[in-house]
Amino acid sequence: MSENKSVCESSVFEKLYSEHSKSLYNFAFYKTGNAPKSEDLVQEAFIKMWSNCAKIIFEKAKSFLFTVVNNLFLNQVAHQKVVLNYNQHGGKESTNESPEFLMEEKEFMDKLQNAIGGLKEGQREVFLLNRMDKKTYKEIAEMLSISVKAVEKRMHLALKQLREQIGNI
Amino acid sequence: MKNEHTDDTFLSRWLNNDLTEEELVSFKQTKEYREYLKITGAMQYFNTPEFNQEAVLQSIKKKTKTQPKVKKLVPSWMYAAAASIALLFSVVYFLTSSNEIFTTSFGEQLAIVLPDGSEVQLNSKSTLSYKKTDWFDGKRTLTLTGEGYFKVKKGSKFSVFTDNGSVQVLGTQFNVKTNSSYFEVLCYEGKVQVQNAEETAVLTQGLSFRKIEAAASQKGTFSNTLPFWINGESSFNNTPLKYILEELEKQYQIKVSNTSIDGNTLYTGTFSNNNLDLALQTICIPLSIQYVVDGKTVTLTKK
Repeated sequence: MSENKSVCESSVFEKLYSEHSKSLYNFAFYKTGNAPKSEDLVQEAFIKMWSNCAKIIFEKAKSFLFTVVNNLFLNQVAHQKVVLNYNQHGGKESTNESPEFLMEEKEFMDKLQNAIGGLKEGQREVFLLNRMDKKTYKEIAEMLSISVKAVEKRMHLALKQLREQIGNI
Repeated sequence: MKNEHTDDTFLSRWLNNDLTEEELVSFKQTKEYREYLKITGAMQYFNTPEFNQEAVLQSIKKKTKTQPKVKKLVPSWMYAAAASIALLFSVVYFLTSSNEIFTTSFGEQLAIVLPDGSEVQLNSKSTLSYKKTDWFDGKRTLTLTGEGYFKVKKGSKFSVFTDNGSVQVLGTQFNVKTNSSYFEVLCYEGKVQVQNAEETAVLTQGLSFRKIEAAASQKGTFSNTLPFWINGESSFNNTPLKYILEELEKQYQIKVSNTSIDGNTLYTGTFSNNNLDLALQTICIPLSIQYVVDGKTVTLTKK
């Protein structure tokens, strides 16, 4: 039914963009830790898809995009520490917690932020895609062209690693 | 107990709510459980940088305008269609329009095996042609100019068409000689039917049919089992001299100049196709003719 959808149609192209550009951007950011660079990667991936549109079937468009970002990243991006910003406790304006408790919380978040940045790239992207973007293991496996089992292993190791890095909580 | 939640996907299954009741209960009793819960709980406070979706799309559109996309001008099925049509045409061409043509030059002979297995021996300066389609349809039809010896396999009607008439047989051996005004058929085996504008004749083994110009046709007999020319000789029986000289020209690629001798003088004899001097002697001595050879020209005069 969808086999007639051509990626060369600009309506199809825009639909693909609105569906996948944000998660592609996040994916790039989890890899690079560099926001402008991530935008560039997204842009480049979509341009590449457009100029090769005749050769890409609709069903494979998504995995094409993720593969392009992955390859571009491997080729040209200088590794940079991934730093995710956080809002403390969802940005609650007022709190009746003690200042000491707030202090500890801040310390914990900083440690976690650090530990995420210190994860191996493969583990980090899987962990963040699952926890932040709510991608299922199956979806992540498709994006990265790896098995679901491999995703689960990376997930397990990432979480274990985070706990060990943070140490005493 | 301690190692229960340490297989390499345990935490993944926990996050996915895939643990069994027992696993979950025992996991909850560990110290780590609280820590893991805290980490995963804290994840909600993180956020990714703002992605300006619209701006990036605009910039993509701007770039793709200057960078034309690769769109196949000719869809791939067109190539398949073109190939099939070309193939179809060549098959049709092969079946319909292909004429097989065999030609011999001065002094040459050519043996041809026809599609049905029949054999043709072609004498010098002769042309034999047939349409392949006719033969596929079971029609054994040939066109001949010059001279040919046919050994026909038994089967359906086998026809040789010439400008002076046609020969039809069912399976036999015969010789046909034809040019502008000379038509001769010799039957070596079986039965052949000769047909021209005026008459129809049936020849059996050892009979010949000859028609020269407008004169009445002549029937004769002969006793050799193969045409002489197959063995490199040209043989004539009461034939006007001009046809003998014509044959001589064909065999040796020469020009015979004859101004003083009557071309209708009858000649009976056989000359060699391999030795011009000997051939000239065989023809000229009995008829008291003098000949002079000058390169490719032979001039005949009365003695």
